[in-house]
This record gives sequence, C-alpha cells and structure tokens, in this order.
Amino acid sequence: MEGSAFSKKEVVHQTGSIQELQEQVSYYCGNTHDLVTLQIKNDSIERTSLMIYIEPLIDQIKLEELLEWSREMKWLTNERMTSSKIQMYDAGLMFEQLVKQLLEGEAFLLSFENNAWEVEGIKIPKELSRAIEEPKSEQVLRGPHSGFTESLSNNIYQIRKRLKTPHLVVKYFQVGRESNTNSVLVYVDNIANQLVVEEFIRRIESIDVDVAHSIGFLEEMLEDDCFSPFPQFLVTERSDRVTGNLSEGRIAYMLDGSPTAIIGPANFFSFYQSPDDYNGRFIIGTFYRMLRLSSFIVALLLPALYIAIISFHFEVIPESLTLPTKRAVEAIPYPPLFEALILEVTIELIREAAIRLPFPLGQTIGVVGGLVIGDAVVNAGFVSNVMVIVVALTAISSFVVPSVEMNSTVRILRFPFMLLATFFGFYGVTVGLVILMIHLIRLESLGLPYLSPLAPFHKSGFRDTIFRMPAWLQNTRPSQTLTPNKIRQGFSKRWHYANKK
Amino acid sequence: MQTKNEVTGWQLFFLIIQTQIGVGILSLPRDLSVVAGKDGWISLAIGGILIQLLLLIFLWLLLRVGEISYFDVLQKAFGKVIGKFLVICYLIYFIYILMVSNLSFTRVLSEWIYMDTPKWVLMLLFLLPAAYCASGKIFHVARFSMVISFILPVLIILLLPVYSSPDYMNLFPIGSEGFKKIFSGLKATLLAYIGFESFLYFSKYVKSNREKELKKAAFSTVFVTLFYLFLVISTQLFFHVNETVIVPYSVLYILKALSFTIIDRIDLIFISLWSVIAMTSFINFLFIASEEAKVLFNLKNHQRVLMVIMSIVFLTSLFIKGKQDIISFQGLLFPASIAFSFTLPLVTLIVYLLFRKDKRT
Repeated sequence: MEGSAFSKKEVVHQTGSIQELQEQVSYYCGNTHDLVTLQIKNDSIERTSLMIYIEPLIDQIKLEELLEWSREMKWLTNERMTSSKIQMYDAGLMFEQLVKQLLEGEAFLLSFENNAWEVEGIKIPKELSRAIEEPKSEQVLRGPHSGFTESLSNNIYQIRKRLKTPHLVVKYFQVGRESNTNSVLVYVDNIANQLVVEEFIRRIESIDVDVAHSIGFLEEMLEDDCFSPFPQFLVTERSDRVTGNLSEGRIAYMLDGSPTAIIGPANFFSFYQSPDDYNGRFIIGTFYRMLRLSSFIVALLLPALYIAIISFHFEVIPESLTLPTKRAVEAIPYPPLFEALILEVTIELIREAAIRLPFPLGQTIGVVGGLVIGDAVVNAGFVSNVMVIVVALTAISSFVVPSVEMNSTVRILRFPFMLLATFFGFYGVTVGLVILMIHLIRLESLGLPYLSPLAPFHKSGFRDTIFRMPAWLQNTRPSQTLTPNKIRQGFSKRWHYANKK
Repeated sequence: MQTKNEVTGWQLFFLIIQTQIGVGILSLPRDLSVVAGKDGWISLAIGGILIQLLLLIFLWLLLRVGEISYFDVLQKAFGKVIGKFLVICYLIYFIYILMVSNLSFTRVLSEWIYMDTPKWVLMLLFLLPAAYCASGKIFHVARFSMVISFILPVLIILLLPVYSSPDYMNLFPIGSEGFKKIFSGLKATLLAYIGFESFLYFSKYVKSNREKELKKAAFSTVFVTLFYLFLVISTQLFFHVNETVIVPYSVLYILKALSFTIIDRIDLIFISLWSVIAMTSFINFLFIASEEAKVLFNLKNHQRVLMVIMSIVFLTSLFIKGKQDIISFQGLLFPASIAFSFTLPLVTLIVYLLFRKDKRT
C-alpha cells in the first residue's frame, strides 16, 4: 500500500475550503459512490459543516436523531456535546485513520472553527443480525438452545451474559489486508495459562491474508499440524459450549461474520462431549459418553475387521455363524474390499446429496439411497447382505460424534484401515492402530498434548472424559490446559454429610 | 509452547516394563520347562528377585552418580578412547538385540498366521511403525509405552478362562526337579528379563524430583515378574510339562483350544495385541540406540541415524533366513547380555564412583 497513489499518512489539512476537503475525502475512499458527504449550513451562525459517512454502514435513523440533537446543542447553545458514541479527534487525525473509522461504521462531522477542522466522530454502525437460534449442526435435547450469529458483538454479548466475571478478557485483532475483519480472542485470565494465550496471540498476529473469509479458513493457519486428519481446534456454534470450555482454561477465537468459535487447546475427548451429558443424570451421561467413544472404534474398524475376517481369518467366526456368513459371501463376484468400497462410496454420496438438497428432498434421497439401493444391490448379488449391515452400522456410528469435524475424520480414516485389512488382515489393522496411536500421542493443540488425559496419563482427567462423574465430584480443571488455577469448585455435597451427623 | 524433554517416574516405570516384556513372552513357558521342568516358575521367581536386587543396586549407584547419562559415565570412567570404544560396542549390542527381536517377531508371525506373506513385508510392517514412534521425543516414546501398557491386563483377562478347569497337579510336587535344574533355568529367565538395564539409559530423562521418581521406577521388575509368573503358571496349569516342551508357543495353543460363543480363535486377537507389546520393546531399544549414536557422532537430531540403524537391521535380517540360522544367531544373546547388561554397567558405575575426580563434598 505504501508507494501507491493512496498515501494515507496525510493529516486532515488545517486550512482550505469545504470543496477541497470533500474532494480529498472522496479521493481517499477511492471515489466510491456510497460515500455521502453532506454540507450542513446554519443561518444563525455563519458556519458550514461537513457530514461524511458511508451510507450502507450507517444506521440512518440514529444518525438523524443524533444530528438533530447535535444541532440543538451546538448551534443554539454553542456547547460541546458529550456522549458515549461521540468522539472528539485532535488536530493530528490522519486520513488513514479517518477512512478506517468510516469503514467501521462511523459518521464524521467536520466543522471549520478557529482556523482548523474540528472533527467529531459518531459511532452508529448498522447492526443487522439474524435472531439467536439453535445451531442446526449441534442440537441438544435439554439445555440452552441459543447459538452464535454472524455478528461478533452479539456473540460476545452471549458469552459475557453467561460469564459475568471481571477476569473475562476480550482481545480484538484485525485480520485481512483488504477485508480488515474484526476477530476476537476470549479467555478468562485467572484460569487460562498466560503462555498458551501468548502462543495463540503470536499465531493470530502472524496471519497475513487478503480476505479473512471464515474461521475455518483461518483455522488451517493456526493449527499445529495441518497434515493431520484430526481437527486440532474444537469448533462450535454454541455459547454454552464456549463458556464451559473457557471455564476450563481454554481460549476461544471468533471472527466477525462467522457464527462459529474455535476453541483451543482441544483434546481428542472434548470432541466426544456434548452439552447433553451435563444436563442429564450422570449415569446416563456416562453411558452415552462411552457409547460415543466406542462408536469411534466401530466407525473406524468395523469394515476393516470384517474384511480381515472374510479374507484372512475366517476361523474367528464361531461355528454357528460360519454357514450363514459363508453362504452370504460366497456368491459375491468381487473381493471384499471392492464390495465395501462400493457401499461406502454410495453412503458418502447419499450423505453429500442430502446436505446439498433442500430439507424434504434430502429425506427422499435418504429413503431412495438407503432402502432402495441397499435392497436392490443385495438382490442383484453385487454385495453381500452382511456387508450392508456392516456398512450401515459403520455409517450410523460415524454420525454419532457430536462434532462435525471429527465425524468426517473418522469417515476418511476408515479407508486406509480397509486397505490394510485387505492386504495384511488383523496384523495390518493392528499396525494401522499403532500408527494412529503414535500420531495422536505426538499431535499437539497449541503445543499441548492432544491425547491428554490418556497420554500423558492423568487419573483425575478421566472424571470428565471417558466417564462423566457427578458434577460435585468434578472439582479440578483438566490438566491439559496447564491452568494455574487448578481447583474449580468446593465440595457442594457438604449438606449431605452434615445431615448424617 | 515447548514441553520439557523429560519423563516422570511412572512413565519411566512403564518404559522399563515395555522394554522388558517383548517378543519372548510367547516362547517363555517352553524355554523354561525345557531346562527346569515343572519348576520353571521357581527359576522365574528367583530370577525376578535377583534382577530386582540388581536394579536396586543400579538405583543406589545412579543416585550417587548424579544427573548424567550412562554413556557419559562410561567415557568418564574408562577414559575417552576406551569409553568411546565401549559406546560403539553398546551400539552394536543394541543393533544385535534389534535384529534378534525383529527376526523372532517375524518368525512367530509367519509361522502362526502369515505363512505365505513374504518375510520382508512382515518386517517392514514391524519396522516402519516402530521407526515412526522412535523418531519422536523421549516423552512421546514414554507416553506410547504407558498407553500400550493397558494391553497387559487385557492379555491377562484373555488367559483367565484357563482357570475354569485348572490342573494344579501339574505344579506338584514343588521343587521336585532339584536345585541344579532350577538354577540352570535361570539362564532362560535372565533372557526374558533383558531390558531392565534400560533403567540406566532412560534415567537421564528424569529431571524433576529425581530421587523419588527414580525410586518409583526401580520397582518395575516386580510388576514384570508377577506378569511372567502369571503367564507361566497359567500355561503349566493347562499343559503338562511334557506337553509344554513340545508346544513352541504354548499361550497361543491354549487360546486356540479355548473357544467362545462370540469369537473363536482368540489366539489371533492375542497375537495382534502381543505384536504391539513386542513392538514397544523394539521401539525403546531403537530409541536408546539412535539417541546414543546421536551423541556419539555429535548430530543435531536422532532421526537420520535412526533411519541408518533401521536399514542395517532390515537388510541384515534379510540374509538370516533358515530356522537354524535364526536360533544360532540368537545363541549369542546370553553371553552378550551378561557382558553388556549385567557386568559392564556394574563395573562402570563402581569404577566411576571410586575414581572420579570431582568428588562431591
């Protein structure tokens, strides 16, 4: 930008006619047509003022109200007005700053007084945002149904409303050379580890893009290992999920225009936690937590194990099941891998089609794809019916994951496992698992271990990962976040023991 | 954020366990009963106690030596030239151990399941994940050892059905084989315990709270001894001594014989889990060897040297094909381990403590 025609370092000049100023402002804004420059004349006092703003960014009604008020104050009583929305600028205001503020939704009132331009800025940006709704991808049965919207201030409002602590820190960063998008880092400064916060800030500050499209786009620049299939930030649209994680010492990052927050440091198990677990009874919560975690294993391994058994280790099947399985598999012309691939790809196609189509049509696709193709393909003898069961179970298990990112990870990862199973049987699957385990152990999120509390092992961490212990037992914060403030809460069940005495 | 390059006491504990429990557990019952008959488990217990005592001596010496690595001690105790020579000897010894475990691993796998798969493929499937793991930092390796240790209880659970119809008479009369046989059983036992000396090599990574954490880890052999005892006694309760001598991998045969309504042939599952256990032992030795070579050749990181060691292990293993070759190749293990795992460490540590110049005041 330096060296171009727009050298914006120039100070709003001290003398000159209104005409000239008008031209200059327009020039710095690239002669755009939505820039409004209004001359305001007042007969009682011999003075002309200039009002400038970018029309679509300004709330017109508020502007008029303010103007009215300002006229009364200034021209009648000749008093300066004071208001939270109105800011006085000193003489050193540069055009660069002025234009930037204009783009933020500020209107300027310039009046020539005492041989200099006096500048007043009025912040009245137009806030258009949809209503707070429940995010479609993260629905819960019980608990709050509010989710983020595209407006950043609305999202911060939702977080602040839930965490009314002076320790909640909101830090603004502008990203994007051209887009100048506001982004915000939110954390609780007496819980989050300062070193982790600094690491996050260091990464945000090194982002250098032209347009910050969405948070998913920036995520790739912030994460530790972009070649890993695993998401290293927890992505959520739910404000309760964000505040829950903030209270554990994690850090949230949001971008204006994206209704999602990314939360780091993430760990593998946090992708399997759903707000539902905390709103129901703890036994049920634990059961569903375990169900989800085992669904990870099923979704990852079931087709691979089936292929391994069919092509290598038929002996593993107990006697009573041997005949039915054998009968189903025998007539199939393809090798099991090919058979599985046909069905897996079909299911992926159905899924993709159902997302793209409008809601009622999507359901139809599900019925046509699932029932008709599934049935026909078995009748035609292309695929064995056991394989249909296996693939359907796998698909259902992979959709159980509460996080969309992890869900796609699992679905991608099962293909290499199927290949390994085809070539090397059980041992191939084991090798795949070992490599996956090593990868997860080495993976880090914001420099902190991804597989915590399993590796490094922390006994207390299991209270809220594989199990969901009663809320009054979860007295410590997770160790992964390296929080300086380990004790989360006191002992809430004291009354119970007091009664007994 | 940089994690410190250190391990905790528990991690060291599991590192040692995983280094000790390796490929050998499948053939352990047979190796023991060939020499010591039905009293093999007594030799095992005695061996375990001896190794545990030795580890305690190591601990005592290490706490006095201070926070330097064993290979530095080697060079300080014997001077630069002899020290360097010994370090190279150690490197060769490690490569030898790596080759032995690689060979016996692929042998078991190709004898039990993959008769037709070429051996080099099985080897690559064993070596590549191991190299991937060992190329990480020490805490990655330690975390892996710790996570993998969850498999050990699963192995025990898989063997529990033996106790539905145990034949306790197979163990009696206790001590009937005589002292001589029990004593000669120690040799087979000591081979099973190799890896305990990794305590020496890994201890340099224990930095915070050193004394307490090292003490925790020194008792790892108690765990290993109990695990081995369970394994051997379980097989003896199932097979008579005369059978154990014939059956090469008795644990697998037991599991093959047992059948369940949901899964037949649990031995296939057992062998998959066992392969991971075998791999961790290999990984830990590989890590030690490449870290040692890194220090020896003044390299920046150990990845490149690790690839060299891997290729040596892979290529040389290709030339040892016949069953007899493998067995005679393994024959060197006993004298070598006596020298490098028992004698040399003790001598080195004592010499260093007696003759070091910078004595603590």
